[in-house]
This record gives sequence, structure tokens and C-alpha cells, in this order.
Amino acid sequence: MKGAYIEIARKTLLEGLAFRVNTLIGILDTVILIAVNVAIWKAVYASTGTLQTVSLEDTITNTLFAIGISQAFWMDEYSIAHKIRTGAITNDILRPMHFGGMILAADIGRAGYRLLVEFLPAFVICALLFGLSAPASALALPLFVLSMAMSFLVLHSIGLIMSYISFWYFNIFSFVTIKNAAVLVLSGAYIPYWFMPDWMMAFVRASPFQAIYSAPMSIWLGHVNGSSVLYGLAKQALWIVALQLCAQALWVLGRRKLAVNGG
Amino acid sequence: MKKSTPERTCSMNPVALYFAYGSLSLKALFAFRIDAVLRTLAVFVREFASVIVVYLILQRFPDLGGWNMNEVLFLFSFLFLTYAIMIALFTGFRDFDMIVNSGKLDLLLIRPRGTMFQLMAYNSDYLATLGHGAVGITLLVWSAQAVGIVWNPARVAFLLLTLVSGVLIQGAIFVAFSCLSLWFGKSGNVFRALYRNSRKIAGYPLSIFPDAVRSIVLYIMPFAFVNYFPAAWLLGKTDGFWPGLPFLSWLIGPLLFALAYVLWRFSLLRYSSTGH
Amino acid sequence: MAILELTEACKTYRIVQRQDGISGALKNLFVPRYRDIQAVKRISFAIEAGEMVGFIGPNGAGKSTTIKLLTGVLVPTSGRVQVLGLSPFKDRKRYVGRIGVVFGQRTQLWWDLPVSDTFDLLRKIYGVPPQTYRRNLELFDDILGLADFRHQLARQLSLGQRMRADIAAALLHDPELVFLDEPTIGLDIVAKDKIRGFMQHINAERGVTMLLTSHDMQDMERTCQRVIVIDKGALLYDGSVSGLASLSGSRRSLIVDFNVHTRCEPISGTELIQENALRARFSFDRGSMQVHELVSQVAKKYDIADMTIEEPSIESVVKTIFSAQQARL
Ligand SMILES: Nc1ncnc2c1ncn2[C@@H]1O[C@H](COP(=O)(O)OP(=O)(O)OP(=O)(O)O)[C@@H](O)[C@H]1O
Ligand SMILES: [Mg+2]
Repeated sequence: MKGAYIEIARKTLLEGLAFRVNTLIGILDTVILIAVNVAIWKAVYASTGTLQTVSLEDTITNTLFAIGISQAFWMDEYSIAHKIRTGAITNDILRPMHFGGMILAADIGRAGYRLLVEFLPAFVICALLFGLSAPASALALPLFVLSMAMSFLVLHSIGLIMSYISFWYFNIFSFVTIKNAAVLVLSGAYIPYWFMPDWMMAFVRASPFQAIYSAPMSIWLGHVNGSSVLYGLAKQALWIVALQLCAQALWVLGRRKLAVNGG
Repeated sequence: MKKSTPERTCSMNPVALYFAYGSLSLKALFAFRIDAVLRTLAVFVREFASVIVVYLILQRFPDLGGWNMNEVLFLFSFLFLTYAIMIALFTGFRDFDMIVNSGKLDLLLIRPRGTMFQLMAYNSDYLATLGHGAVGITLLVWSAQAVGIVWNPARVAFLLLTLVSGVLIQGAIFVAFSCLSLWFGKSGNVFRALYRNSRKIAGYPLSIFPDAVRSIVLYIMPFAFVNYFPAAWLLGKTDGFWPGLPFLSWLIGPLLFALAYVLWRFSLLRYSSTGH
Repeated sequence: MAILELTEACKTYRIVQRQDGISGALKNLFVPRYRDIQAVKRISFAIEAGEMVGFIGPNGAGKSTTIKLLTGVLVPTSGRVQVLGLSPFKDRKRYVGRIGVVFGQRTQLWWDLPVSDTFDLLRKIYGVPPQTYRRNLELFDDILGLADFRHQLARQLSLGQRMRADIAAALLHDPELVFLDEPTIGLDIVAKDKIRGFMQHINAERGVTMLLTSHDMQDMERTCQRVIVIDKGALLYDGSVSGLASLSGSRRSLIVDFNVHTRCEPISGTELIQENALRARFSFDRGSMQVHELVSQVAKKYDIADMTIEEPSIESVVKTIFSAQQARL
């Protein structure tokens, strides 16, 4: 049973490798993206009379990790939506597996492929070119990894909700696009949370966006310590549970609708 | 029945035919009115998000390589404006891989009109035009006023010529990449990655980048001529480059497009259709 | 005079061969392996003005590829293609204005719009004079029953309606020559009949030359005088439909379904080739045994639920021709 999910993850991982040009492009893409953003930060830090509380090195580290990994944590909402729309989803429902679990396995496979094959080489290249801050402590490293895994789950859950919208609304392009725009601005990748204006920070704190890249980065950089690390992790976990519950509710309601339509 | 010899005198001129296609595109888009409005809004939000990122960064810092926020936004506006016009004309080349895979290209090839013409006319993504256009016009009007550009006939003419050339540069890039995909199979992702990155780089003053990054938008995808050089000239900045470069932009657009057209004619012979 | 000539035409596709597993995927990345598929191998034939020719062969035989060579969609790897005195791909624009093409597998209708909008656009693309356009629409309404759904969105049409609209779309501009790749695919008997009747009408009344592919032998028997058979990219047979029928043998099968469990006795002139409790299959020669005679014999003897006559499939026809050719060599 568990083997089946692992098999799905492995399949998706291999699918990524099948497209030869895409792999190289993926690496190059990430390197360029990081290089551009690093150049921007260097330029603004160099502008006259700047006094910043967070060092350029920390900001660059944020860019390397958050932007690099955001390239890997890209969910595929449209293919599930397509299945729902065409009714092909009935095939998946008929399998003796949990649907959400299958999607999770596929998302893990894809993210795994992108992390290993695209992000990792790009990250090494960029770290050599631009340098990066060491983790705040020995313990910060495993906690960072844990927190990043939870970021993935937050994004996965949001993606799931987006896909399930297509039970009611046939074209989810608008929803996904607006969601991606929000993630771009609020997740802490392109604008680190320490550069967000206060009003924006207040909103981000109360939303799942903080649980995306701001949470793990604050651990790596040592901006939080002691119990506030645990508080941050707990908050991430809570968001995952809340979003998953929401997704599950949509799924149950959506399936009922599918049955009404004759699927 | 009498066998009629059709007199083929009613052939429509290309411009009128282009608009016939265009009105059908619009009609098809607005068959789902709410969805069309939502999608336009979504494109607008997506593009505006990248503006917000620049805005938020520059709020914390006085300038970026000697350009203040309004100047950077002015620079940015050219990208949206040219893209808005370009995508209305070249959607078929953006979606080229999909058109090939779905077998639609076969259907274009059996029509007595130019393939490039049909790809340009067929199913334009006017939602993108609206979304990008709205961001572009907002930015241009607002930032031009904020930096205090005085619009005289010479400047307006300069701007218009620059926009035309910027459209042609990006159109040439789209056509060239469709040719690549005829030669090397699906290459949409190569294209999207390069295009996206170049556009991203072009959003900022070129002077802040290391040479390797700079050469991408100078030599591989010459976005520098779409916005950086012309915007610098309009803003009266020299930034240390050769002062003739802003005017060279006008040449580069038509030249690249002519090259892309030749490549296209030649590459189409390599087309190998799909199964069925 | 031949208006269509194919001389030693070849088409070879080159595809990237995927290699399995992680190491294979990595190999794909750096040393892609190509494979050539010879879809059409040195095919030659000619078609006269006004002919209606069927083009058959099993799946993957190269029919669609040949049609694409003839319509200027593909450039031949070697050989010569000359239609209406033009080279389809070199003189493409001039050439395709004079032909009509139907790809049964995919529609040329604008998906989110009414059929009439696509027609109107095609009228503009081809520059069809107004009176011709009107006359053709009337004809299509008459024979294809297009008026019923001309103002419906294309994506809301049934398959049969869609196909009829597609065929009409290919004929709006009075083409001299029409290619139809599987115009009856997936249709029921009634829809097929309508389309066959229409093709015959256009061929007979207007002298339009037609080349059509199909997997349905009935299409060929009902509409064509001549058939061309290909398999694995090579030409197997080119001649009359009746000639093909005699070549393919005249044996047919009668399949009988019973209401109650039945044991059959042999019937003279037939061979009992399969039998179980509720079904029997007799093989007989259409030349020596009248179908209605056999049917009435069987009906008298047994309590019958259903009967079907099985025609030889294209595959078996091809097999017969192929072995006949081998025998001759
Ligand atoms: N675009 C393509 N690229 C590569 N190979 C192709 C392509 N199109 C067809 N083929 C291959 O060429 C051969 C002939 O295909 P073709 O589509 O011409 O056959 P067909 O006779 O039309 O078959 P069907 O009855 O199934 O439609 C097949 O082996 C097919 O796999
Ligand atoms: Mg075929």
C-alpha cells in the first residue's frame, strides 16, 4: 500500500529526468534568477547612506535558498483540474488509494526531482559565486530542513485547494495566477520579511504566507531562537492542518457534486 | 447542376482578414464573459506583483545603480507596453509547441494564406494584451509624470519608434524559438526560461549587473534595446554607454525580425506533423 | 489526364528514442538516440480528374502520411509529388486554395463559436464569391442537414454533426480535389450513409475528384470505383473495388445467437467454424450460397435471437492480398 505512493513519487521524479533539455535549462534558469536578484541586492546595498539591520550576506543567503527552492516547490494545479473537468478523475477515485495522498506523492516526486537535479547544482554554483551565511547554530540546520519541508506542505495544501476549485469553476487559471502573485510578494522569497513594511508584515504574520519561506529562513539566519523557533514550527504545522482540513472539505463537497453530475 | 467556374476576385486583403480573425478571437474569449474578466484581472495582478516587488525594495533604499524608484518604474513600463502589443500579434508563436502537438498547424497549412500570417491572426491572447497594457499605461503615465519628462514631438516620436522596435524584437524572438522547436523538437521550456529571465533582467538598470548577466540581454535576447537604452535617453541618463545606442534600437527590431522571417520560411520545411 | 501524380514518394520520420530508467534518462540528456520511421516507402500512383478513390490499409500503414504529402503539409523525403500541375509544398498557397481537406480525427471548426462563424471566416480566407457561398450553403443544408445546427457552438455538436460540418467547411470554396482522412470515423450507420451520399453527390454532380481513407470496407464499396491498398508504407494493390473483393475472397461468416441452448447440425454448403451453447458461426462462400437462403434455413430450424453477417476486415483483406502476392513471387 505504502509502496504504491512511493512508486507514484518515483515515477514523477523520473518523468522530470525524461526531458533532457529541460533539466539543463532548469539549472541555468535557477542560477540566472538568483544571480539577477543578488545583483539587485548588491546594488541597493551599495547605494549611498544605507543603514540596514540585516547584513547583505544574510539577504543574499535568503535569495539563494528561498528563490532557489521556490523554483522547486512549484505545484501542478492544472493537471488535477484538467482531470476533474474531463471526468478522468473517476479513474483515480476508483483506485484503492487516497486521492490527496496520490497528489502528495506526485508533488513530492516532482519537488524531489527539482531539488536534487535542478536546485542543488544551481545552489552550489551560486554559493561559490556569491557566498552565504552559515546556519546560526548546529541545531539550526536540521530545524531549517524540517521547517522547509513544512513550507512545501503549506504550498502543496494551497495548491490542492486551488485544484479543487475546479469542481465548481471550470477554469482555475485566474485563481492560481492570483495565488502565485500573492506567494511571489508575500512568501518572503523576493522580498525578505525584514524589508516588508509594517502593515504588510502584520498581514503576513496572520496568514499562511509567513509559513512559507520566512519561517525556515528566520531559523537558518538565527533571527529567532529558543522557544520562538518552536513557536514558529508549531505555527507552520497549524497552518498545514488548517489548509488540509479546508482542502478535505472541498474534496468531500466536490465529490458529491461530481456524483450529481454523473461524473 | 451547372458547373461554375469560381471567379476568385473577392480575396480579402490581409488587414481586413486579420481583423476578421481578431473579432472571432474576441468573440470566443467573451463567450465566457465572467471568466474573461477574471482572467484579465489575474494577468493584471500577476504583472502588477512584479511592480510591487520593485516598489517595496526601492522604498527601503534611495536608489538602484543611480536610478531612483520612479526612473526604474519608467524603465519597467516599456516592457509591459511592448509585450501587450506583441502578444496580440504573436500569440501563435508563443503557443507554437501546443499548436504543433494538437495538429492545428496541419490545419493552417491547408489554407491558402501565409502560415506566419495565420499564426499571427489566429486566436490572439487579448486578455494578456489588456492585462499587460493596463499595467504598462498606468506605470508610464504615472512614472513619466513623477520624473517630470516634458513630452515634445521629438520625444513622442522617439517613444513610438522605440515601442514599434521593441515589439519587433520580441516578435522575432518568439518566431526564432518556434523555428528552434521545428529543428530540435519541443523546446518551449528553453524558450520560456530564457525569455522570462531576460525580461526579469531588463526590469532593472543594466549597469547594476555583472558582465555575464548583462550579455544575456545585449546579445542573446536583446531586451536592452527594448527598454534600457531608450528609457535612459528619455531620462537624460548616459550611464556610461555609447550615446548612439538608443537610436540603434530602431534598427535592431526590423533587422532581427527580417532575419527571423527568413529563418521561419526555411524551417517550416522541417515540419513533420503529428500522428493520426 | 492525371491531375495527381505520386512518383516514388518516400517519407521518413525521425524521432528521439526514449531510454528507460534513471541512467537511460541521463543518457537521453547527453547522447540522444534517434530512430527513423519509414512511413511511406516509394509509393507511386496517379489519379484522373473526376475519379473517386478509396485509400485503405491497417493502422500505421502510412495513409495519413500520404495524405499530408499530397496536401502540402509535409515535404517528401524523396520522390515527386505533383498535383494540379503544382508542387503541393512549394506552391502551397496557390495549391491549397484549389483543394479541400478533411482530417476526420480533428476538427477545423472554431471550438467556442457557432459553426456559421467558422464558415464565414473560411469564406473570407478563400475569398468565396457571395453567390457561390450561398449556393453551397443551400446544398449543404439540403443534403447534410446543416441548417439544424449551423448556429450551435462547435463544441456542443454530436460527433456526426461535427463531421458533417467539417466536411461542409472543406467544400465551401468549390475545391477541384478533395482529400478526406477518415471522414466516417466513429459514426453510426445513419450518419455514415448521409456522408457517403453527400460525397457521391459532390463527385457525380460537380465532377470533384476525391481521395478518401477509411477503415470501413463499406465506405469503399458504396462510394469508390477504385481502391488503393497500402501496408507498412508500401503499395499493395491498386485497382477496382470488385477486383479487391474477389482477391480478398468471397467467404463471409454468419453469426447466429440463440434464445435457448442449442446444438447445431451442419448445413450443406457451409462450414460450422465455432459453436458454443448460445452462439454459432458458419463460414460460407458468397459466390455459391445466397445469403437470404442460408438465413431462412437457419431461422426455420432454430429459435434465434439475432444474426449478423461478418464482412472481412481490412486487416484480413490485406493479409489475403499480401499472401497472394507472396505466392505469385
Ligand atoms: N509526426 C510523426 N512523427 C513520427 N512518426 C510518425 C508521425 N506520424 C506518423 N508516424 C508514424 O508513421 C507511420 C505511419 O503513420 P500514419 O499516421 O501515416 O498511418 P495511418 O495509415 O494513417 O494509420 P491509421 O489508420 O492508424 O490512421 C506509423 O508508424 C506512425 O507511428
Ligand atoms: Mg491515419
